[in-house]
Amino acid sequence: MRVNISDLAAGAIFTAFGLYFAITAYTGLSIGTAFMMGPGYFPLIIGIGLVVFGLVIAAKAFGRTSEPFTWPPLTSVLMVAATPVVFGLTVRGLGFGPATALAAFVASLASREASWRFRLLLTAGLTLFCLAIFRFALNLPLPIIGHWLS
Amino acid sequence: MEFIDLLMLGFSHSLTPTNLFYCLVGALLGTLIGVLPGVGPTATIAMLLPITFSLPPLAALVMLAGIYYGAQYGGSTTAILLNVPGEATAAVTAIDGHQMAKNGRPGPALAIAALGSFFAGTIGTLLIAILALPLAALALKFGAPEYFSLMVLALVTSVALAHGSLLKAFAMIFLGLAFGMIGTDVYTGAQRFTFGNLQLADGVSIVALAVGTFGVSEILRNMESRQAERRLTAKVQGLLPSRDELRRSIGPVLRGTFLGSLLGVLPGGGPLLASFGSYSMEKNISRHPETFGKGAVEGIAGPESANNAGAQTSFIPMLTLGIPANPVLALLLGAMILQGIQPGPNVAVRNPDIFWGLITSMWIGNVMLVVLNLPLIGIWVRLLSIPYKALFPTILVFSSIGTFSVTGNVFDLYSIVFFGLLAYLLIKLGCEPAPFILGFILGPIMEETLRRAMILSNGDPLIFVQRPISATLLAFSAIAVLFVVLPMISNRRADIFVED
Repeated sequence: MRVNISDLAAGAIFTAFGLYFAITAYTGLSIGTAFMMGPGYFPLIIGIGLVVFGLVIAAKAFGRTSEPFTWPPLTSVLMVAATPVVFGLTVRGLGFGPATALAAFVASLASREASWRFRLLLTAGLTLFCLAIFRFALNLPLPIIGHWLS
Repeated sequence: MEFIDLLMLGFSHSLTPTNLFYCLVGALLGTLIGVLPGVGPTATIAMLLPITFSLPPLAALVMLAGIYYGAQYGGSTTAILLNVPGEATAAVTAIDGHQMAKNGRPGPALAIAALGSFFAGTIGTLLIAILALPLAALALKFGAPEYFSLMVLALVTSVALAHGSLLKAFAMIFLGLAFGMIGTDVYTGAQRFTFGNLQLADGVSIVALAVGTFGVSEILRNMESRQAERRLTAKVQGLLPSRDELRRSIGPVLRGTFLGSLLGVLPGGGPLLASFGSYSMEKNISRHPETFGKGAVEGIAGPESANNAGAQTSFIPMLTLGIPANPVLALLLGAMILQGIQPGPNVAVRNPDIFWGLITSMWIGNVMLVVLNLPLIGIWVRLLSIPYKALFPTILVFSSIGTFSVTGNVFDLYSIVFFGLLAYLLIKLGCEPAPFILGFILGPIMEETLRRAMILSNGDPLIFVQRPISATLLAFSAIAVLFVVLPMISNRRADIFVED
């Protein structure tokens, strides 16, 4: 049987989120009445709505073919996703300067086309640029070198 | 006259050296990202939102607005010269604009685009100034039921005018509404969907959500294919259009301005729909439709005026009703909230300096753009050689630091990744992210007005159809849905987006 993968997957995602919001609202929050709505009332409606939309979208997937997907290389996705995380994990400990350099380097790894020379130059340039803007122009109150290093 | 006084008040604020400076910065940045394909105004504004936190409120808004309409000017430059639309709105400009450039008239094509944009921008700004006060006064009479229905209408039209699956767009709105509810319930103080995480008590950070949804997802999309090298096909010599070209442009500019102004006000409309709509309109009414696609000046004048008019008038619902017409305006609304200004009809009364200052700054920004852009074309074109492998790390690192700087909350950085991956996946599955952020922004207000309306009516939902204004707004919403669902009309809707 032919199935449109995009619609099926989109429907599943919406249904899953809808179930999460509806069930959490129903079990964990007071619903109240239409006159005096509790914190769970509106979320419950929205959750149910999401489930309905999700199921209809998924149901319409059957009987239709899918179009092929093109995905970016997995390393690129991972490095892009890792950049904010690396910065978040190190900004308190290493300080603003090294955390920025590390994040810039991780981001530069996401590109397949960049050479190592390019990546190092970009890391250095981007670190200086961000230091200039955030630390000196905008006066972000963050130590450049963190307590892990001093 | 009160109107003139208010405009003067606005100019007295927008002409201060600080605000002129940020207006210029915004306009130049807007042009820059307009020129660069793969970097859109939504992602840029999301990225710069945190920085504006440290600026005075008016300067922040003036700069962000400048980025938005500046991008409309910049997008056409590369569309004409290189057949590379820097923005989606310039895609139709590329059709005839690039042909004109190939025919040896790149200068006049650029000049017509800039002049048309400027004329449309001026009219658009004037419209905001004229319509803002009456609309705000009307909105001030709205009670909770009317406000709720107004938001229903806004969300429904934003879906009806978007392209792609209607069901998916509605689902995206609901997903946005759901994420808007995360945090502390304002009535009872109950923690909702926070996983007991204190960092979610204030709700999802709009900066993190926007950076992820529009910045990270855009970067991932651009990584699917290798970036092609671009080459300049025509050298710009004379800028002056011929008398014939000018004469043929007048009609399209006027019609484009009218259509753009109209579509800009509608939620979900805005510059993109305006430029596509104007192109197909000019082609339909032209006595020489065969010249379109071969360098017809009408095909530049119309869409370029329409998209800039649309960009300007989309500020009207945001400034007067607190309802964003598209994601960019949603972020500007977010910027206002970050600055401690409560959006809605009261802005004009409580913050007239900001309200009129912003409106007048948009006209000043348009003047700057038309004066600066044409002489600087050489620089803009050279900027195209900045490789994407240098651009996207800059965007990523810059927005990470920026998001962190707003609250000093490391959790927001992880939210960027969550929303980036979710939005990218959903985009791949055919779900546009614009309705998601509109739902997220409007969610809390919708819930609050719904609860107030229900208290007002003793829990009777019929109040929404018994109050005449509310009933009218809901009737319009129903008509909008019908319009899209009816197959004949929806086929025509798809046609507007098909380029030939």
